[in-house]
Amino acid sequence: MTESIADIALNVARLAHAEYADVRVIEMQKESIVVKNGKLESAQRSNSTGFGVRVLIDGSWGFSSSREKSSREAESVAREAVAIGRASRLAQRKKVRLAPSVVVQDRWVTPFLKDPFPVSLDEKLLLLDGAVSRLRSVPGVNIAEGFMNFWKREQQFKSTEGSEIEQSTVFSGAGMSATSIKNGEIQTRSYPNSARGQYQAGGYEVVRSMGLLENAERIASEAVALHSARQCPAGEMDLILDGSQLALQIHESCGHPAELDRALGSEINFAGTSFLTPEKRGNFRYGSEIVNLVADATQHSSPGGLGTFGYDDEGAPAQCVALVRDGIFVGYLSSRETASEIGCRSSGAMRASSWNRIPLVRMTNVSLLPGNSSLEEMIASTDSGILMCTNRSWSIDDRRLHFQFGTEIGWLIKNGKRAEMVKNPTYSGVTSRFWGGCDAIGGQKEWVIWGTPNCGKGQPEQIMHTGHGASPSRFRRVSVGVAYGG
Amino acid sequence: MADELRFDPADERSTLEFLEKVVAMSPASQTEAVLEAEKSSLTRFANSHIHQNVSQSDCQLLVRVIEKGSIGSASTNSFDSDSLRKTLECAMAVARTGRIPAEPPDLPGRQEYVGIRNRCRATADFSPSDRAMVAKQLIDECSEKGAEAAGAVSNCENVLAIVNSNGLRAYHVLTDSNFTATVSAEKITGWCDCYAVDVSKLDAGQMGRNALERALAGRNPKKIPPGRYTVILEEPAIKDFMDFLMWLGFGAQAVEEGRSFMCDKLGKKITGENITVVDDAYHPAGIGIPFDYEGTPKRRVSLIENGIANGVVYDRSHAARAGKSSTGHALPAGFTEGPLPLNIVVSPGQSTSDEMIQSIKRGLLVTRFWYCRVVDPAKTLITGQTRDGTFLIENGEIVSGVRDMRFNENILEVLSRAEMISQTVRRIGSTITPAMKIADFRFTEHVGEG
Repeated sequence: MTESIADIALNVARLAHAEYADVRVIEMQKESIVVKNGKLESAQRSNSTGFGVRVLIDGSWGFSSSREKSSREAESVAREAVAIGRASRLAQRKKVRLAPSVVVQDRWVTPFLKDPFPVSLDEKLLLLDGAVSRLRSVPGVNIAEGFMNFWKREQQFKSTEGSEIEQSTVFSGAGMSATSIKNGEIQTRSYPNSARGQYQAGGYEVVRSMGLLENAERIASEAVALHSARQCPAGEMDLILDGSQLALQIHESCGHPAELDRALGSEINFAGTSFLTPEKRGNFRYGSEIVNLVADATQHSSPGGLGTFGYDDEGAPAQCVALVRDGIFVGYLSSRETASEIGCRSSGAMRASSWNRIPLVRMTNVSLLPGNSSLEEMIASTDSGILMCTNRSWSIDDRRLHFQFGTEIGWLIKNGKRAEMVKNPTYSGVTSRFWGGCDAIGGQKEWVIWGTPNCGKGQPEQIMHTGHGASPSRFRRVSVGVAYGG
Repeated sequence: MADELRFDPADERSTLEFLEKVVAMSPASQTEAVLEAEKSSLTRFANSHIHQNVSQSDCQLLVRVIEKGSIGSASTNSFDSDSLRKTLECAMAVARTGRIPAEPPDLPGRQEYVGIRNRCRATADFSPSDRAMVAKQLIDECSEKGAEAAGAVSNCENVLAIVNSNGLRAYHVLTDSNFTATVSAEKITGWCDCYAVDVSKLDAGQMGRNALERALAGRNPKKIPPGRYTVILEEPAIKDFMDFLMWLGFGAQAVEEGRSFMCDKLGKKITGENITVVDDAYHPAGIGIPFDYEGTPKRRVSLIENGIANGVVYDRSHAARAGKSSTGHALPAGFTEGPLPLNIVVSPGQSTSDEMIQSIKRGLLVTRFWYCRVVDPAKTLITGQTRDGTFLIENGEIVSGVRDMRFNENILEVLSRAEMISQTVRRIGSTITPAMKIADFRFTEHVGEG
């Protein structure tokens, strides 16, 4: 049935003399579980299925979609996509050109050990209840929460160029947080990460390996202790970030500005543009010489990434592309359309959040390659500085230059030792200066591929899953504590 | 699908009949079926040409069952009988755990609703060519001035319908349209954003011209030092503040958990006396629905009245625990942040825009903020930056554009320093708000390369 839907839609596009068309038929499942203070808040499964038809006609795009997978609807939706594409010509400055891509017939599946969906709700609740119970065992914790989320997506892609690709992806994850409220102050600690935890491509084994139970009492105690900690000082300091916070720093200050559609101005009305404009490629110093950033969608070198797949949503194979090499900005995340604008081939970064959304240039796994240091060594070689862990707040300008982040917890570093805990830590900076001050990067042993399941972009907005490999790293002379000063 | 249960979401009768069939299929002692349907289209332009043009329709069915006093829920957009049975069974499996107590124990019965007329056929039928022509008008006007246009034109028709096994039947359909644009002139941008239930009243032409004028007026921006300035925050900036107050404290769950800024403050002053905020789904300029996701009729709720913290919004479960009644602000089952006010209305003041500008010796006019995030929830401290039209005011006149800056501010303190409020309001999304003149607004750093 689904195969014929794609064929019918592609035939309509061909008969309308479209230069190119593709169809994605998708079935998505999600399970979301929240336990709070011992009570099950929600355990909900949702299914969404449908198809989307994208047509390039006379140099303009049209896209339409429907949840109803019937032959008649396939024809109707394809006709609408053609009509929308033709309407786009009313305001066409230039015809869209697509960079060449390989024609592929293939199937790709996320490797996993245990499909999370057949795992019983009882088993999942046993783990979350245990974690929440340990969080609540610490006096002073007011809100103890545990989260689990699982996604499965079955997708069939077919294009007028002859590509036929089936993909099945599975993402799993969990997390917990302890919140302590005292004297009008709210302090929260999360594990393994904030924003409801850590998420990776894989099965239920991802959740089992997280160590939720083992870390519950520690983070709960830290949440309570933060009330007694001193306020993070303001000033210029050497800053060490843990891997999870650095993952978001990479996402915001490297991933988004390296999106070629932003750099070319397509997102100016919503998400913004990029300071990494095309003339800077190959000659702009983005960071220090030890900074190497890649967009890596391959299973080979980014297993477990939320941006790991076989092919992107216009059929380009998964690739590992250098964005920053030895500190120099060298490459973009791109699509076939945007790559043709700068004379390149697609980097395979076109992704759509659902069947009813068009693919956009999105991050895959944008990662900082491991260095040769370690958190322990970085602390030992810092005379005066601060260690910040676990994101609490993030904001960056529309060109991705100036940012301000806050974390849940920090520790001052004095004479090579982790000293007192500080609360409400924040830091801010300008992207290239910040990365230019990077002088130590943790090694492979501490490198983790973190999941960001909530990246928003586009109109209508699409929420995408992206991955970011990172290990703890150090940055010299960073502005700290501005948010609370004055 | 051969046995797909067919209905037209834009038609009340067939939609409610579909939901009744779903409820009748349920093995649970009590069942609620909620349908959200959307048909929407959006034309996007940038670099003065259309680069994305999309249409989509979807219906999501959410079933909530109560069995032996416990709730379960699940959702699907497949409406063949097998998929519907599986969805109901998923919800039953959760209910059978006995882990989500139904508070109160029964679904509500039949309700009466006040009609809200916010559906317009012309908006639902607005075509790809119509949208393209709106975009083209601004593109052409910008081209004449050597500027570039980007933005989006969109229209939608949304349906919310509910049937439950206790006799409740609710249906509402609304339309909306939006035009938003960013105009660039010599790398300086102006911006606009407007909405209309009836697309023929979407003032895209004038709003686009305003964005163009601001881009042209903002060229050669001055770099002024960060610090405290008197500012005029236009409606989109105030809307951002209201969004954060909604999340941080206007819902009963935040109060129940002790994390709301309203905790221990009800009846006490939390902002200036000139600030009054309500949630009002029935406001004539709004885009309300007369019932919530449990089918409870929406009530107008006073949140802040003349600076005094006055109330928060409830759904049925939070109301039951607090000994109150629901105000009609439940969100879909599975949403775990509790009830929220989605139709915030800030009362206007008495000043014109010109009067506010003329009253400022030295200050800034802020068109909008960008990327606002909470820094400290207890303090309602948020950060963000100015964007797309920030101007220096000197001696009562706009004299130049200025480089954008980052702010860190406590929202409630900002609302305690509102010296003037505009006599007109605008709808931004589902929020209706005036502009405000704020004293001593705290900018902390420059945005950009330094």
